[in-house]
Amino acid sequence: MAKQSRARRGPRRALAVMATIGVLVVAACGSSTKTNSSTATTKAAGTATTKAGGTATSAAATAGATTVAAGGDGKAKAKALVDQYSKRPTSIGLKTPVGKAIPAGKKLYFVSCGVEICELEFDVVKQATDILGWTATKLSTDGSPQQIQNAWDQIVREKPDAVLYTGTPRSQVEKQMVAATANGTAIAGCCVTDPVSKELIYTISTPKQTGNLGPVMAAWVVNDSKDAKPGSIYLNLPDFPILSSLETEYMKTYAELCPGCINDKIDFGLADLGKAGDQVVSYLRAHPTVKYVVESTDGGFTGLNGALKAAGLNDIRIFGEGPAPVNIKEMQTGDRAGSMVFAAYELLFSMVDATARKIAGADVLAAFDPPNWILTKDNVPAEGASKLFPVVPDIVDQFKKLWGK
Amino acid sequence: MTTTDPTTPEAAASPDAAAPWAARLRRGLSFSSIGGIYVLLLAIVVFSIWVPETFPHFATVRQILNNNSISAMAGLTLIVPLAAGVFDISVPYTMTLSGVLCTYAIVHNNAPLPVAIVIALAASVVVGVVNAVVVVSFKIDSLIGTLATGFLVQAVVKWRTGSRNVTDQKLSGSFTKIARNQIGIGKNYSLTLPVFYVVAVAFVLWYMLEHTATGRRIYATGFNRDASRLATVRTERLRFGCLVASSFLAGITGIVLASSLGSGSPTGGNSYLLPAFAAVFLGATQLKNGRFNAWGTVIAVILLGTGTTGLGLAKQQQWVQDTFTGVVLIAALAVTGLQVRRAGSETKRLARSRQRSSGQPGGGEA
Repeated sequence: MAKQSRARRGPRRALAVMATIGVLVVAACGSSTKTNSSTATTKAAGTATTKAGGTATSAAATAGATTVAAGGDGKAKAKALVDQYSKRPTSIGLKTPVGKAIPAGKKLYFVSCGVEICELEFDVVKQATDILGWTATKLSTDGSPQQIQNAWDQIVREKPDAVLYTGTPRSQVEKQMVAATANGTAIAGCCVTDPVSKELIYTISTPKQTGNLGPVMAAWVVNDSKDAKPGSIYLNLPDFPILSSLETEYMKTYAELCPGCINDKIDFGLADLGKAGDQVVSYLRAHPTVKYVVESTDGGFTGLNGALKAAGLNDIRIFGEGPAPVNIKEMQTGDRAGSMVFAAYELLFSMVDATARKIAGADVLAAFDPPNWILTKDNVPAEGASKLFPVVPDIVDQFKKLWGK
Repeated sequence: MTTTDPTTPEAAASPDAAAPWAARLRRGLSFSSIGGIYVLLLAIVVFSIWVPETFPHFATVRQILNNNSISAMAGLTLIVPLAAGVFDISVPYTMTLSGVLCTYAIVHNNAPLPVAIVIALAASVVVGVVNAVVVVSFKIDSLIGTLATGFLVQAVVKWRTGSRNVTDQKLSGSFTKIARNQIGIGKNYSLTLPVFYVVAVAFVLWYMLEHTATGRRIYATGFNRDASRLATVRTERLRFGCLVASSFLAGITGIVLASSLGSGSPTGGNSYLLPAFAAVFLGATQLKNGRFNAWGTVIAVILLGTGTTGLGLAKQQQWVQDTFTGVVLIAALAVTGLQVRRAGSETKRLARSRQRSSGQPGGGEA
């Protein structure tokens, strides 16, 4: 009987052992097939040697950067950049009035992308359309391709005079965009990689403009650290193509300003964001000299702060871009070191401006470079914890002037 | 309760009671009973050798426990309805609702923290009652019924928040302490409060399910509803109560989640659906073979958490961690499936031999 029982347990044990071995083999495969960073070794903080690996990709290592003495030059360059962007901008440089009467009573639709920032953006759009005497309608979506397409189908059916949208690749709504343009709808987009065309009359926060944030973010980290060779981990969201240039510019500039420093990144799929906190904690524990976490977009990593605190990683500095109100609150309480502002007022008013010029029969202006501003606990506006705020304090008045209102 | 139904826990447990303590200990320590713990120990050894500089430290224990505590609470929430044979897909959405309502009451209505908590829990109980009415009274399949109510809950969240995080300085005080306060010896040897909540909830569920008549009736209902009803168990009332209880627990979990996030996220709980179910099903293969149980779920969460944390510290890519979870889950369920089939065959064989020895013909009817 006992023999029979042992015989029965055999397959169970075998299955369990096979499962364990399977996992470890898979792990080993993961290890062997991962990016070239797995074997990269960079000298960090003087004596510590840290192996960059896993999902992390080391730019310094991949660029083959040799260890150059801690760059006093890099620190100086970083400080200059930080000083430049720590001042609150006062103008966006738009000076050309519409020059023609903007007709009132027009209908503008705003396609919401389903995340908090898009919902907040509609409030700004509404302020702009109220000034023009237009009506603004929000088409709510959850950001999924299906719902975005539904919203665009509605646009084609209802023929509004203007449409604003953010983040959606043109390829996803190509058919509807062409049809809407044929209906006479003026379309302006933000935060997209698609170029201006007959259908898309205006885009802002283009890949190049988004990429401009990268050097400033890298400079902030290098300047903020008292360490000669601060390490940083960049949290990337490849699902958003617009963030690709930001990643490239950040990694490149960081390697230039801080040669030989640990300069890693982790790619997160949107479905993995729930586990981001744990992933980052694991990374930081595996790389104890890395004290800076840089987010490609602040709103994507809610809960990171809590995970760091729960792991006792209280000396980690978080920096990012595009803070939502919840991130502004973190800044105010000292839970976040800083962030690059998202110039929502400036971007959205300029998009309304473009459609207004088109409808009025005036020339649509080329997109300006959005104002960049480093926010920290010391300069973050108090109202930012509950709503979006203008970067240029009198931006609404400046647009009113352009519109003759 | 004097039911003689072989599917009831009393009947199932009776051989245990008669068995000598050494046999019970042997059975309790067998691979089929606590295989997860043996795999966990193996994982600890493997990771300690693989990443000796970071894995074998208290910081790893703290990371695993702290970062998986809310998943564990979500998993424990699911045990009650699953033990009664009912799915509750709305749990993650109820977590979101609870967190949002609690923070909303504090931020927009200046409600004191206890009042905000009561509001959130009351709303969660309402969700549970709606679930119960849909599943028990309307006799809609629980998977579909609670999925539908989950959508309704999500609609309420979106309506209330406009898909925006509920956030304000008012949440920085005592609210965030619910999840972020730590207990322990010094700064380096402490755990966040949710870890202790998990222990408390698991203890209550363990006691209720294993040591009360209600718990046994819940299991009996889950094993065989018709047989339990014939044995005078009020199965519909139990299913109703289980759905309300799971929503109540989801409400508590949602408040803890919102506290850990420091805001009321309109999607905060949604990502816990799959991890929670994975933990519960893996947990059912531990300690009480094939039975959803509290400590098994806790073991499962720790096992999965150890795997993903260890692989993270070993600098493995995310897909490797997902693979680990998937492989462990399939392996554990396959093992349990084998055991259940073997146990079934053994029961039939014993029944046949008893009939033969008592001289009754037609043993095939057993």
